[in-house]
Amino acid sequence: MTNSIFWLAIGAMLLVAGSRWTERIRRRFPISNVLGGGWALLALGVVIGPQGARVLDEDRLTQVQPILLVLLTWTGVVVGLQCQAALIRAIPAALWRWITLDLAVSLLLSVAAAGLLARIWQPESPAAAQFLLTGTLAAIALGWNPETRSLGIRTDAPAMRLAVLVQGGAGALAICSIAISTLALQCAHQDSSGAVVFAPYGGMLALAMECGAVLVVSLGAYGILRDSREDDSRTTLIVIGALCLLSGIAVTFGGSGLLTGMLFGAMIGFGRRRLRGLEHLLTHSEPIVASGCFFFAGITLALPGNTTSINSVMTVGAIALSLAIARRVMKPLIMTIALSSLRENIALDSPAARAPIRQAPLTIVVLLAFAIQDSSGLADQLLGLAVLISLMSTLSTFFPRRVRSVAT
Amino acid sequence: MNRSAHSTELRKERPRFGATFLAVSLLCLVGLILITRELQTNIIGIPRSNLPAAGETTLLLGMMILGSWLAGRLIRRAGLPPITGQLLLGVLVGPSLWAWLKRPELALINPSQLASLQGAESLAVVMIGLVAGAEIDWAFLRDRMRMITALAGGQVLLVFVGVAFVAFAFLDSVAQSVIVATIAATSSSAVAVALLREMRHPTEFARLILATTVVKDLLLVLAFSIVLFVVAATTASTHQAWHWIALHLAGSIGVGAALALPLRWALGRIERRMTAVVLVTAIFVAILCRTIGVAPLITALTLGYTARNIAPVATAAFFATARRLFLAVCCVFFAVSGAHLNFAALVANWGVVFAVSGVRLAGIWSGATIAARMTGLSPAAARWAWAGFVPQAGISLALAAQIAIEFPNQKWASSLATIVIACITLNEMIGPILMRIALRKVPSQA
Repeated sequence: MTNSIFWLAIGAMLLVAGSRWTERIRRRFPISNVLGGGWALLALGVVIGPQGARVLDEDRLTQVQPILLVLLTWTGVVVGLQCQAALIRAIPAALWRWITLDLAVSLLLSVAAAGLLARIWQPESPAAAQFLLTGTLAAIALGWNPETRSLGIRTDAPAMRLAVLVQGGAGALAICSIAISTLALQCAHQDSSGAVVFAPYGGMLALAMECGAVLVVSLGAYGILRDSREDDSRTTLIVIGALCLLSGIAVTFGGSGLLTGMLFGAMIGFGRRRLRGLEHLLTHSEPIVASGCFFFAGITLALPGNTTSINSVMTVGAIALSLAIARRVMKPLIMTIALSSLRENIALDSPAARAPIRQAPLTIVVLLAFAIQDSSGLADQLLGLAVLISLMSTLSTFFPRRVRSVAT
Repeated sequence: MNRSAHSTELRKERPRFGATFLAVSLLCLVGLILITRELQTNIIGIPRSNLPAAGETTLLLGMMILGSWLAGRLIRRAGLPPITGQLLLGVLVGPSLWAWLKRPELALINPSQLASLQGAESLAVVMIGLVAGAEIDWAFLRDRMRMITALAGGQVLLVFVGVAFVAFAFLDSVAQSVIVATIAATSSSAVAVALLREMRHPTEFARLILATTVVKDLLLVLAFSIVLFVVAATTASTHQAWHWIALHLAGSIGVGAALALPLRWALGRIERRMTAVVLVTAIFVAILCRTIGVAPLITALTLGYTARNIAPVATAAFFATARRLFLAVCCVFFAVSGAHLNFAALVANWGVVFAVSGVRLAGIWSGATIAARMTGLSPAAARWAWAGFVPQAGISLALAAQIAIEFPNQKWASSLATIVIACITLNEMIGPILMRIALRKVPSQA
């Protein structure tokens, strides 16, 4: 009976999340972006998961794991679909500069932060674990939330241009984030005894095999979808089938599905013919997939350290706060430096300029993918940390309010 | 010049799903699964996943969905319905055929892996029920009640009497013969709705076949429950058959009808994320049915029928989404059904199986044809109406399984269930082909 209650609760959440009433509230109060949509499902996951009321225990979680795998692959496809030749050609030099600078600074800071974190949490962790931690922290630090509407709307041309750059940069860095975290996960993985080992050759071989399988599936799916003439049923069938197959292949080679999904999406995106039926299906399902991933993240996450000790809670809070403050300081700085050549054409005082401060929602999904591969519990704690940073960074965009958000 | 450009344009637009493309894709798919498994087992040093079981389930599900669709398209080029291709794929990758050939290691899916697909199968049954229920319109049912009653009554009567006599000749037991005859009278609403959805514009004849099948199956579930009750009363059964009657029919219909009201209320307030709403509803219904022990197909049929008829506007988007997902659902359902087909039982009991199936076919043909002519169906419809009632699948298999559950310690029960499942296997293979011919032969105006 608990299972039915669980699905009834999910249905009720969908009802609330998809209703006109929620939409009206969300439009009226920007703060509800923090409380609505995926975050509400994340909270539900925490409440009913092993950390909360234990409605969904380990056994039941095993039954729904295939759904989680497909959701992760689906997220990868949505990210990968951005790889379209026309879009890449349209990226201006200033945006390339912004992406490169953010990538370089985030990686450098991640190496330093990983060393520091390893000392606080697990002082005797091997080099392989630190490599993995660096990759994960880089995934947390990279990129930003592409959504700009909730920060305030300005419709003048310079503000719109900045918003487009913010969205483009977020999309490109999402690809980098998945690639870096998957590389780290494949090269430094747990062996049969549970210890983290550094095995780049095995990891690269697995990645090569995954890529080969993705190539075969993509070519077949593209061949069928190209001729399906926007047939909704057939497109849905091919997409679901391909996602299941790619998830299975990724897990067989020790991956999570994010990279295989992304490569599949990229191959479809680079195809000569636009598959509008597929793009429409994937775009429309994006909020559902994101909500599903957030729900599973809520079930999986664990608060770092020993939560019964006040010192431990304080330490974790301090780490999260310092990383959120680092974002608050570094991201606008990077943006200002990278886009300095466009200063005349973009509005750096518009609400969209605060978007890079917020952590990318994809980070939660990347860490969820890491968490399902890791049995030590470290990834669950990092996921908890990422959620804290995400909340703090979102809240920090409201202080101080110096920007002009008057609509023109 | 213009003509040449036009013909080039047409060539470009024409779908390229030739038999070679489909066959090569299918072989690539199976090859991909085999190579992936081989590499994972034999290469040392590559990362291992923490979720091997979940990975295997999604891999097989992907193979079932894509492979089943490809097999369906391939077989369609031979003039057969896609369902036959989907069933054949299930047979080829499933464990039953290879176990019978004494080469179980060649099966792509072993019995435990097949069991891991049970969740997807339950979900597919509920989705089929929802779509089938939504296809039946109350006004259509009311206007053609006389035809439906005559078609259902005519064939049930003749099939029941004919099969009971033949089964008695082989089994030498009145109780067992009556059980076999009752199950033989059932048809498959899943096959009917799958073939109906395959048509771009479902004809009135196709809708009549579906409505008759659903009404007939509901009545036969009730009849089967009564038969079991009587047989259980005369033998030492440990179960209370009347509980089963109450749950399986009244309970299923009651739960389905009761769920329609909250569904209608919820759909009146939701305008987005319909795919998630459909999936969550189906999962909820599947789990609820398993938890309280009611029949998922009947519950979903009733839910689909009630919701669609009490609020056609509010539920329109919901059922449109369900129909969009229906192709994938059918691929999973029929491929898994094919993997479950029991060839060893079919071969071991070929005498009784062919005799019962032959008499069943004759009974359906005579009963449906006489009823169709009496009720004034068009000549083409009257000639081919029988072919729509030959397929058997979900409900028939559930009833067959119930024999062994109801009489757990009786030796005859398991052998009877084996014979019944073998008969269903045969009808499941030939039924869709006959039904497809019927739907093609009867013009849309009939």
